[in-house]
Amino acid sequence: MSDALLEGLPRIALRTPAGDPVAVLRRLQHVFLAHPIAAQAAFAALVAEGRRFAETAAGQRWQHRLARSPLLRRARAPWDAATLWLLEEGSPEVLPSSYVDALFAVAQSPALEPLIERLMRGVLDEVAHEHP
Amino acid sequence: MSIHRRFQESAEQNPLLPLALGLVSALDTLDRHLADAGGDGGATTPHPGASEPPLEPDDPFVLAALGAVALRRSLATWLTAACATPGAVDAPHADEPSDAGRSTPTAARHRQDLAR
Repeated sequence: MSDALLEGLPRIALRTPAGDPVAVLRRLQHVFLAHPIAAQAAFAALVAEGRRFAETAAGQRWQHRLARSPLLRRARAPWDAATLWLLEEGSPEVLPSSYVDALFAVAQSPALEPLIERLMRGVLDEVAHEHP
Repeated sequence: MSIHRRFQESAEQNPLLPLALGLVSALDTLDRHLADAGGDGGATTPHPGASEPPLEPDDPFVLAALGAVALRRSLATWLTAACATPGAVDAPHADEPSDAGRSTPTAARHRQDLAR
């Protein structure tokens, strides 16, 4: 690959997997069946993250490459089967990278302990509100 | 020293480190697959169905894959900084607001990408 976007990334050779990939995807099916709301939320958050990334030049290059990728196109059918066509785009309030940013922003703060106390106080107040 | 090695060396000291190591490992695997999927036909193994029509760029499946790439970049930025010397991660700057009103590596990276 000549594009600077992919420089430094390792290349892979696709071979017949040592294990049973269908069995692994069946386990993924079980996860989606056991936790459909969480799975939908995670998928919707990734889609929103992708939309935001697509606003950047690097994101647009990736989007173009992924959209015309034969490999990703072929991955679509097993993905739909593994997730039982349950996933759709949503409107998450927070992007996954925002959670990462928030965690490390709190970790960098000199007021770490008060921030943790606020975090814990928030959930305790909610519990007290729901179970007065 | 690789980020994996650095985490492995100190994984026993902080219960968050195995989680971070697991995230890096899982996203590295995804990264390799997406790099192959996002290649310009130069994959080591030819993909059958190469002549089939492409996916729509706005397809949620494509956007989710794109989101995984973005999330991997965000995590890599933070975790690489976390592995650097103490204080290597700059404190938020008030003059560089992000979506949350503070500067973060992810926000800074998006700004750099938008500026290109």
